[in-house]
Amino acid sequence: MSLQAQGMRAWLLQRLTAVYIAVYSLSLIIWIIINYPINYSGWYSVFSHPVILISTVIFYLSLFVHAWVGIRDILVDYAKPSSVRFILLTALALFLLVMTTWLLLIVISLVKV
Amino acid sequence: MRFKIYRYNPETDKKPYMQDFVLDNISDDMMLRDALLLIKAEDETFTFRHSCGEGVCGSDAVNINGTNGLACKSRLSELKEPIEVRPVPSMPVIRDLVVDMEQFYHHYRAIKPYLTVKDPVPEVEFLQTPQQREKLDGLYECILCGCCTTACPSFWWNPDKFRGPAALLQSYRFLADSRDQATSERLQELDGPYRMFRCHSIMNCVNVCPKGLNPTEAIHSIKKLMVKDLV
Amino acid sequence: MSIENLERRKFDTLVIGAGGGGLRAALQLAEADTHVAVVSKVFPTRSHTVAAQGGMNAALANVLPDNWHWHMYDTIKGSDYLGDQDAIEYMCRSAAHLVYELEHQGVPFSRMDSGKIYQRPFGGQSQNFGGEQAARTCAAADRTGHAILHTLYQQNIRAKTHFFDEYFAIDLIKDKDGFILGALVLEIETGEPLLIEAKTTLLATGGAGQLFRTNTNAHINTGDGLAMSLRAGIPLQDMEFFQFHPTGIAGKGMLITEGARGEGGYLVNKDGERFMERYAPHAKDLASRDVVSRAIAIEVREGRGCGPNADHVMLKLDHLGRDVLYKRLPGICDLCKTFMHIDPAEESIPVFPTAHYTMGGIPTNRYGQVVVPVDQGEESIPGLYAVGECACVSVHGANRLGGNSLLDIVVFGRAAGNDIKKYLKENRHHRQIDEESVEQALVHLKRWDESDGNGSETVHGLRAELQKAMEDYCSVFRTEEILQQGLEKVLDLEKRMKNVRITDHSKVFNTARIEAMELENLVDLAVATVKSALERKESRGAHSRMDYPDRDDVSWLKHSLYYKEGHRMDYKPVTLKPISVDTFPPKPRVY
Repeated sequence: MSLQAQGMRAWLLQRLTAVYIAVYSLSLIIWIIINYPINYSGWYSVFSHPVILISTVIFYLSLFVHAWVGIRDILVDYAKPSSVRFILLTALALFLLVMTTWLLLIVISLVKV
Repeated sequence: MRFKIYRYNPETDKKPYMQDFVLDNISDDMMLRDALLLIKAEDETFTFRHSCGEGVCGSDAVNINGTNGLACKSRLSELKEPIEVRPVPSMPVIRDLVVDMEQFYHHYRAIKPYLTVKDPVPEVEFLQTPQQREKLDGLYECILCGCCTTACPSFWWNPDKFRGPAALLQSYRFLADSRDQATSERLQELDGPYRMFRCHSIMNCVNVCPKGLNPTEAIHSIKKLMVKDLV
Repeated sequence: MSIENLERRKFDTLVIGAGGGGLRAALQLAEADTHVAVVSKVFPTRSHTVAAQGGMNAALANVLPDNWHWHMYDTIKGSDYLGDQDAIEYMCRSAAHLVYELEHQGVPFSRMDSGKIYQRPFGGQSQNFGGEQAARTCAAADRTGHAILHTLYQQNIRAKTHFFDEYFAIDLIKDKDGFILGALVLEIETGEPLLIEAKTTLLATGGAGQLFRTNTNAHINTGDGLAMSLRAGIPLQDMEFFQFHPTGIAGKGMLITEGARGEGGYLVNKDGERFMERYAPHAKDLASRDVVSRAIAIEVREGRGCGPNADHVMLKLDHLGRDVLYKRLPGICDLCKTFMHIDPAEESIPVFPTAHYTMGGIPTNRYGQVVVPVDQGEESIPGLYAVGECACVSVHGANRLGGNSLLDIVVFGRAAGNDIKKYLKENRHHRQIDEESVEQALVHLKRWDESDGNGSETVHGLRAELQKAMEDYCSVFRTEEILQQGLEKVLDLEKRMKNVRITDHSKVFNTARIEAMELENLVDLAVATVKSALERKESRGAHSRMDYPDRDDVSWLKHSLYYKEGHRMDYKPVTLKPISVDTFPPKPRVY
């Protein structure tokens, strides 16, 4: 997604990602309850499954998008001086970028094995 | 009955202060405007806007015990004493209860609040079914008093960029009109991070509207139209 | 503020007043790229047009058969034959076109199943020259004035009209040749005067309902334009005709639209009798307003009033059903709930005749030009126009029909706009401003800076006395004796005006000073009203003399003209000849 997505597109993304995050989280919780207790190999085999893997990656990406839009919204309201807002937004962007990189590294390690 | 009234005259006062008034001859059917007029008769330097006295001109929006409302529609017997009357929040105070509404009017003008028809008009009226006309109920009745917009935290944070509930309600009044032909222009104008999307459905606007209108719902309807426009 | 450093602005046209009349004229001019300024003492949508409820007459024939000839007949009969028939023809002919135009501009009229504009029956309307009840009043629920005023303001935003919001007009500027060159106005927020020079000036300042203690009008309706005209040496026409609306909320004054009776409501006295059947067997509750108001006043006087003091009658609406009431009259329901704790779907509403509308005003012709008698005929005052309630065209004569005032303002607002365009083509340059006249206006303003000890009167006190006097001496029923006392009283108030002082001399948003100048205006108009009423020795329309109970067409089929100087009266003939149709000759008026 573009950092510039604002107004209608940001609002829509916020809602779409929210729906996905909710559906994914609920499914995960239900799966955990059904299969409790779960051991390491159980976790490993499930998250290596391509469908689960991809939906998990989408989950994290949605989470990052959701966080970006949401926190940016709050900063637009409350962080008035543009310099402060810029610094905070940059920090947020860097943080989300690091998280995304980490996510990709995990995916690569899973796919290699 | 006891009153605490916000006073400020830029020519004589360094800063605003609250002045106490006590009125004895208050009857059960009196409105706050009646009390303000009694105070004005005692002290003619006391300044506030008012005109029709029946809630249609929208002049006398003030903050009453912390909530915005029209002085002429607020029954004294229903208010807690001492009745604290202040100018509506977030607007520059000119004097006493009179505020500078220019920012508010600016946003109203900016949403192009007029019917836009591109096709040639018929020689008689446009036909509009009662059902189509019903969509304008709850929208066209706005009296531009400013109670809603000045009660909106999103407007407090971004008064220069957020259009505010009153202007957005008016925008939807035209979007909802079967005769208007500027839907996409209107929607485009409202896109972007500030003009409409500062609204977080806090719903202060709905709570204070003296005409019982619902700007939050209108804003949601605009968003729905935008989604429809997008897909 | 001296005359040397007085701020000055120049426009082609200055419109004073931003109600329906002023805004419609301004729109006509702005769309023709005329440099037009609108001065209003309140933000435009707060003008009193906003409070008009019932609707606007036009023979669209959407509900029942209709045509503009019938509308014309009803208006002339309603005016008790004092209306000028050329102007009435012009208004009734233009009506349909102007309603369609407003609809195209966005007015949210109520609709019928066919998709056409909804029209309701109103007082004094008939089919076929006095036959069955007509349905001629185009309505946007019971908020028609609000809908029209907001739409006209919106159209002016589109046309980029220049507004001076919250500026108070003090006096017209006039030169030695009699041309009106603009006005001195006061910016309320800063307290600074401003001279607006204009080739044409249009007065659209509304009526003077604040003359009376209980009235349906807003606080701002102080007849400023009427009084400005008087001070500029222009007479006021037919000021004795002041309309009392039959159904103001008793004791409070808020208006209950005639549309309430148009939708099927009716009046009852303490015996539950539908008394209008006795006074107007045919039209009943939808007789003309003067007729219904007098009937209510008689019921109360003869002891058939309701309430502990037997001082009002009841308007019954509950039989119409909640659905109809809340759909057709939502504003009325809200008003009753807020101010009376009454739900009209369950209880009747206490009502009494309440001061409502100034039929008289600045004499104009059907082009909106202000006209004054010269020798045997009359001449227009170059550069001066007037429309709406402050003007007397005269389309309302001795009694206005409900639904004709919203029509009046748009018809003559547009007509004046068109005539101003013509005038501007022939008069391309600003005339030299008359500094003496400006000086005079500044002196008028400075008068309120006085703070010496001679002042023994307050604005508030004198206004209350004035309103009480008008109610006591110049109400629905009048006699020589009462009017004579009334005249003495208002002349005394006029004298006492010079003792009035204000204590607030600050510049910023000084409403005490504005109210003082409004009181000056009201006092002049009170004298005009009582004097004109005293002189007219007949009963016609809203002017009801118990000592002269009949209409006298031989002596009094003529317009009154009141001049401020010497409180002098003059008269001019009624125009009985329409533009294209035959005259409607005066007949006995029965409903």
